Amino acid sequence: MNKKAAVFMYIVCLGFIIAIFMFYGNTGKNSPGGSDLYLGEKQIEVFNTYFEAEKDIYYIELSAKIAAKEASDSNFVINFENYFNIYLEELDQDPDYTFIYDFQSSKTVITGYASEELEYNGDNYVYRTQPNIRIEIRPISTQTTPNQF
Amino acid sequence: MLKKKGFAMMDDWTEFGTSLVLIAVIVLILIAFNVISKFSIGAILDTVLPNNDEISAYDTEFLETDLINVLKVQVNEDYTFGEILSYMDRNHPDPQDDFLFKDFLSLAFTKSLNCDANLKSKLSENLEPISGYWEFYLINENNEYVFFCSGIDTLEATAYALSGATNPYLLSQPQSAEIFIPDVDGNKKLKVVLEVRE
Repeated sequence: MNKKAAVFMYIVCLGFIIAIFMFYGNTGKNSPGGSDLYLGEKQIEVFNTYFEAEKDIYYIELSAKIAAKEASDSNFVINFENYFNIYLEELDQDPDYTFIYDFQSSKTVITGYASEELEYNGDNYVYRTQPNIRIEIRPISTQTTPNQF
Repeated sequence: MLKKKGFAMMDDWTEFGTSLVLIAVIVLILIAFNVISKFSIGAILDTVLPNNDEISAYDTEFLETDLINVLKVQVNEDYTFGEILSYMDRNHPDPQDDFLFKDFLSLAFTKSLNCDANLKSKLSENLEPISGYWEFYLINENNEYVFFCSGIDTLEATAYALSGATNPYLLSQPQSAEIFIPDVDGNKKLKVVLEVRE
């Protein structure tokens, strides 16, 4: 091989090696979420935010249910709302509620409309959910309550 | 440049040698990148699936949903499991609400409340798909264990503890989920913890 051809071959080989380095070197930066995050980490973060909201909504629902059970038969509405507000004070976000009561012979349906959304802040997103609730309870007088024993 | 008879000249051998060395270097670089890439994938798998012998972290994320679903289980005509747990602290250590003890609870010798066979079987129905070994704890704001319920009986628990004592590596790491629920007496929260093991 003459000298010119040899120099050309070395340049091509060197260029090839540099190209490989550049290609793989940028893989991390080009992967979703950047090189700092593992694949799926962001998705798990979003799931966690969703679960946080689910827990708070369950807390609110359970508060409504036990408030309905603790409220006395007479003056049920005032009692129920008092208990409910006491339970909700323990929640980090405690929205105000407007309740609609449907007293039927077989059940009582309570629907609660929240005045504001629950808000959860992630790194690059905000998750909001309206924590409206709807509970059904048996007529108060037929329930087994702690006081009956 | 070849001799007429087909044998390579000295220059050509140098050229072949250099090419072979370069090819070997390139192959080594590619192998190195492949190995690095595998390490990176391994790290991802370690995050998502910490150990093949254990419950995957992915399942752990959903353990919280399972916990909420179990709390919604209707244990009698009027009460879900979550509602009954809300009454627990009031009944600890001195039980007041008899309805809690009728079919579902017993008082353990440690003075914390315990689930009886009925409640345990109801919970097992819902928790068996998660794991063969589960435990529920209810902890009040004073960090007292108000309620405890385990999916395994005393004999199994003893065998498990013994196997763990003889070889701790046999015990899998527990995965847990927790949630706060309101206390029926108000102004305080209760912590419910679900712990599962493979």
